[in-house]
Amino acid sequence: MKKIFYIHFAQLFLISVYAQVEPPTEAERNDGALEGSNDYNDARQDQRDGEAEDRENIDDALGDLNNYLSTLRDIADAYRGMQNFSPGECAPDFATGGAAMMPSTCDGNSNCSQCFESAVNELNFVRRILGRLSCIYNNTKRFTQSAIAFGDNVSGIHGVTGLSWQNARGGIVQEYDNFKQTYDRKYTDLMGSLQRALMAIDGCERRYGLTDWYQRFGFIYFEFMKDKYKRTD
Amino acid sequence: MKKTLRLILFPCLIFSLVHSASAQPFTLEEGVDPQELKLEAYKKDDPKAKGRINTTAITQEKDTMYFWAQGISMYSPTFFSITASDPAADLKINLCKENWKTPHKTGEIKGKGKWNTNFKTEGDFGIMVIAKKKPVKYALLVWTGDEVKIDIPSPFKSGTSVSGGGGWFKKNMVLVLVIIAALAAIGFLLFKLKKAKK
Repeated sequence: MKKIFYIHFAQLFLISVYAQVEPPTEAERNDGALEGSNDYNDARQDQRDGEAEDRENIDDALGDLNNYLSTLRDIADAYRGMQNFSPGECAPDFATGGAAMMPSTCDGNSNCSQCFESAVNELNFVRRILGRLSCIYNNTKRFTQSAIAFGDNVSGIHGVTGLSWQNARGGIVQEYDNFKQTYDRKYTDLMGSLQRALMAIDGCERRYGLTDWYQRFGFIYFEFMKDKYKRTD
Repeated sequence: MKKTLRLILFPCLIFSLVHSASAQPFTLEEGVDPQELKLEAYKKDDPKAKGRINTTAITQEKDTMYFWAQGISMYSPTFFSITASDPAADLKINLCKENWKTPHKTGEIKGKGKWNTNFKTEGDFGIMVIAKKKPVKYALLVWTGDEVKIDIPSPFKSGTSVSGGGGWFKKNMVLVLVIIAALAAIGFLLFKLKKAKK
C-alpha cells in the first residue's frame, strides 16, 4: 500500500514539475537561432576580411612586379645587370682558347651568309646548352659537398643523429653518382649535336670556299670543347 | 620541322638533368618541411613579363615558415617579393641555396611594407620567413622570365681570310716571280760570261 502511494506521489510530482516547465516561446526560440546566426555571420565576416587582406597583399605584390618591369628597357638589359644569387655561383664560360678559334671564308661573305648564319645559330644553341649543363653540374657538386660537410659536422653532436645521418649520407652519395651518370649521357648527346653543327658549317664552307674546313679547323674546336665540358671527377 | 624538334628536345634534355639534380636547401631537421611555390605560365603575350609566376597568400602562425621554388634557368631573370599589409607585421626573410643556415640574401619588413630582390640562379632556391609577431598575413611572389638570348662570344677569328693548300705561295706570288726572274737573269748572265771567256 505504501509502495503504491509513493508511486502515485512520484507521478503527481513529475506531472506538476512538467507543468511548470513551459515550452519556449517563439521569441525565445528565435533568440537562440539569432545568436547562433550572429556567430556564424561573425565568422564569415572574419573570413571575408582575411580573404580581402590576402587579395590586397597579392595585388600589392603584383604591383611591385609591374613597377619593376616598367623600369626595364628590355629584359635582356635587366638580365645583364643582375647579380648571381650567391657569390660563388657558377656563370657559364663561353670563351674559346686562342688555338681553337676558327677562321672562316663564309664569315662576312654575302654569298655564304644565309647558310653560315643558320649553321652558326645551331652551334651557339648547343654552346648555350653546354654552358648550362656545366653549371648544373658544378652547382650539384657544390650542393652535395656542402650537404655532406654539413651533415658530418652536425651528426657528431648526438649518437642517434649520427646513425640516421649515416643512412642519409649513403643516399646522398648514391644520388650524386646517379647524377654523374646522367651528366655523362647528356654530355655524349650534346657532343654529337656539336659535331653536327660544325659539319653544317663545313658544308657551307665547302660550297663557297674551303673543301676541308672541318678537318683543318672544325676538328680542333671540337676537341677543345670535348675537353672543356668533360667531367673530371 | 628540324628546328621545332630541336626546340622541344633540348629543353627536355636539360629539364631531365635539372629534375635529377634539383633539391631544396639541405637540412637534417625533420620539422623543416618547405612548401613548394609551383611556378605557372604568366603573360605569354607580354614580351617583358612573359615567364612563370607564383603568388601565394600566407597566414603565418609559426615562428618560422619555409618555402622553395624550383625549375629556374640561369639564363632567366628572377624576381622575388614579399608584401605585408598588416601594420603589426615584423618579418625577417632569408633566401637560401645550399642549406637553411647560410642565407645569401636577407631582408625585413616592419609594419605595412614590402621587400624584393632580383637575381639569376640555376635550379632552385629556398625562402625562410621568421615572424616575430604572430599571426601575420603576407603574400609571396616569385617570377622568372623567359630565357634571355645572351651574347655569346664568337668562336671565329675576325678579319682573317682562309685559302686552300699552298696559301703562302698565293699570298707571295709576286715575290716568288721576282726571285725566279732574278735567278733566271743571273743564270743567263753567267752563261753569257762563260761563253765570252771561251
